[in-house]
Amino acid sequence: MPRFMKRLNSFTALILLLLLVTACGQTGSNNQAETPAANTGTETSKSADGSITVEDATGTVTLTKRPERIITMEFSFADALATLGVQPVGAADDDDPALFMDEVKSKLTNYTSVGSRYEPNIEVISSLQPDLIIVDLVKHKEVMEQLKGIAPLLVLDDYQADYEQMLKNYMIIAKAVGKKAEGQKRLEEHEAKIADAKSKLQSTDLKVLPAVVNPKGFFAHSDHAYTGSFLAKLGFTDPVKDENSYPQLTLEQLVETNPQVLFLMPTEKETIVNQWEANSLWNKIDAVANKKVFTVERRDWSLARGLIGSEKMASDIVNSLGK
Amino acid sequence: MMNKNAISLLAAFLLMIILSVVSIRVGAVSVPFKEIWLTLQTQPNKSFFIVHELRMPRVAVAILAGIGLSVGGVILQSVLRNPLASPDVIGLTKGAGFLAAAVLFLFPASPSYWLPLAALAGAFLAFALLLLLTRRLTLPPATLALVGIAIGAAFGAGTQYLIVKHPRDISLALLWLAGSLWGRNWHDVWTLLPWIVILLPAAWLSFSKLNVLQFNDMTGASLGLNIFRERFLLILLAVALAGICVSAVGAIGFVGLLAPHIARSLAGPRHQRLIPLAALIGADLMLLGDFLGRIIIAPREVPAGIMTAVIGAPYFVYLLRRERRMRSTKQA
Repeated sequence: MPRFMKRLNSFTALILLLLLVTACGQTGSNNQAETPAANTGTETSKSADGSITVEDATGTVTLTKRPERIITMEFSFADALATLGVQPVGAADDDDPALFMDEVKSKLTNYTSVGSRYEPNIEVISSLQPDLIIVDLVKHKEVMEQLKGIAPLLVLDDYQADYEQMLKNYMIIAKAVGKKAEGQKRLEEHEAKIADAKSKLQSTDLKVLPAVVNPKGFFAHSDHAYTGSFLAKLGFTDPVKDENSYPQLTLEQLVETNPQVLFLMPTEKETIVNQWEANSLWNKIDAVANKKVFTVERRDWSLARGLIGSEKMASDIVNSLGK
Repeated sequence: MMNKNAISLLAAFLLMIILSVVSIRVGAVSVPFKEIWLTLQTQPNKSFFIVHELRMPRVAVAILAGIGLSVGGVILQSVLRNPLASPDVIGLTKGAGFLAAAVLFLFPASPSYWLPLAALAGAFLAFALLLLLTRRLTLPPATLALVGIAIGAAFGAGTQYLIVKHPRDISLALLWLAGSLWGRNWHDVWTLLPWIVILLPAAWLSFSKLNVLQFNDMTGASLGLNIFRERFLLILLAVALAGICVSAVGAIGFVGLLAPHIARSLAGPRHQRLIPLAALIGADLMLLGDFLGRIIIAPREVPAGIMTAVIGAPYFVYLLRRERRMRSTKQA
């Protein structure tokens, strides 16, 4: 028996070693695929034969002609097309059109739902015969090879994007659909709107905290998150200063960070805040004491993540805090 | 005259063919048989992509994963002599799930092939821990199962921690943990196929050892088997079979529990019959679960792991009740 034990021991070690080696070997050989992700270049050209070249999150995309049958796999991509007056033939909307902001929905008149944003229905996508699919770098990486067999892809990093990244993505989309000039113009309009909103705010020297609240918890959106980064852009201060995008806070932690303004995005009617309101600690928060707790639509503030969504956020903020 | 065993084998095989054809025919986009026929003659028409690049690889992955999970389950149930044993019970799917969740949460931008590799590593990590904690599997089978459950619980807790810590990203992780065939392609088929082609015959050729080991250690030893070595090799075989499947389709545990039970009730305890039948039934279950999941709320999908549990659980209860009734009538 002991000799067999020894053999068994070395066998176990061998398995572990093998796993390690295969894991290392794989990382080495495929590194170059990852590097262009950081590159969100802006160079594009529209050549004489009408083809379009654009840099996306993974490299250069060349389209032989201006795409006409486009499928969007995220809300912000549909938002971008809506501002450019382009109709997608298909959109991932989690099979619930109500998740689009009213303004976006009114502009998307006739699209086919391709289902979930996480697991979009590839059969439906293929049957729509698109000539461009706008996908997310993270969410859709498992199926990019399959989707490439259907149509050229425009890969953008929306999942991890902050506000600045969204603006870059917007221009990439505008160029890809052959509407660079319109996009530029709309972007300037957007910047004017945001600057106008900023001027309507008396002071931005405030600690403002946006947070998603559900029955189970309070999830702050720090300035690493999209909503938080937008508030930081307006000049507000992020009171949580967390390296995570969506740190969960207890009531005690919330009292300690003590925001002066709270924007709550409830997922349903009854949330944890209803319980907290009965707690005397809740009233110690500056935002609560000064009646600066506002409820806003999670759909507009957290899901939309586009120009229209950000403008809605800005106007909500002006309505709440402006003169 | 065909015997009962041959009939069940044939029925399970025919069911597999029928389910495969139906899976290719029906979905969010309907492809008439005539068009399927045309695509088979490599006439590229508008359904070619759906049939060849989406549905066919998906059907192939469902069959291969069903085979691997259920044969892995048969081996574990016999070697551990525990009717509740499955790839779940020795912590395998939980280990795979933990490392997969770690990749999804901590390295969201990692290239897509990391996920199956991490899952496979997690399955073998759970097995390595089992070896360490059970004096290299020399403890009694019941203890092995308990240690496996403990390892699984620890990994499960780790996964839960990651989910609680990263509340926003959970959709991707929950989909993987439920087990899904969404987006599986030929690449997944070619990754699975060689493993199944090598390991399935290896499992079948071990039938005589499995037949002996399912009784008790004394019998095995008296028949000249090196119990500990055989047990180790067989569990390793089960881990490899189930681990590679879990890495391809996610933590679908229930197939590995249910298919062996159905097969056992039809083919009896002899593994030369049990293993082929369990393999086919596992494939049937996966195909059925994936097919229903695809059409039930189209264009969205219910993960195959959830559907196999939904259709499998009631049948499992029925099976257990019937078994008990048969036992009580035998005694009376």
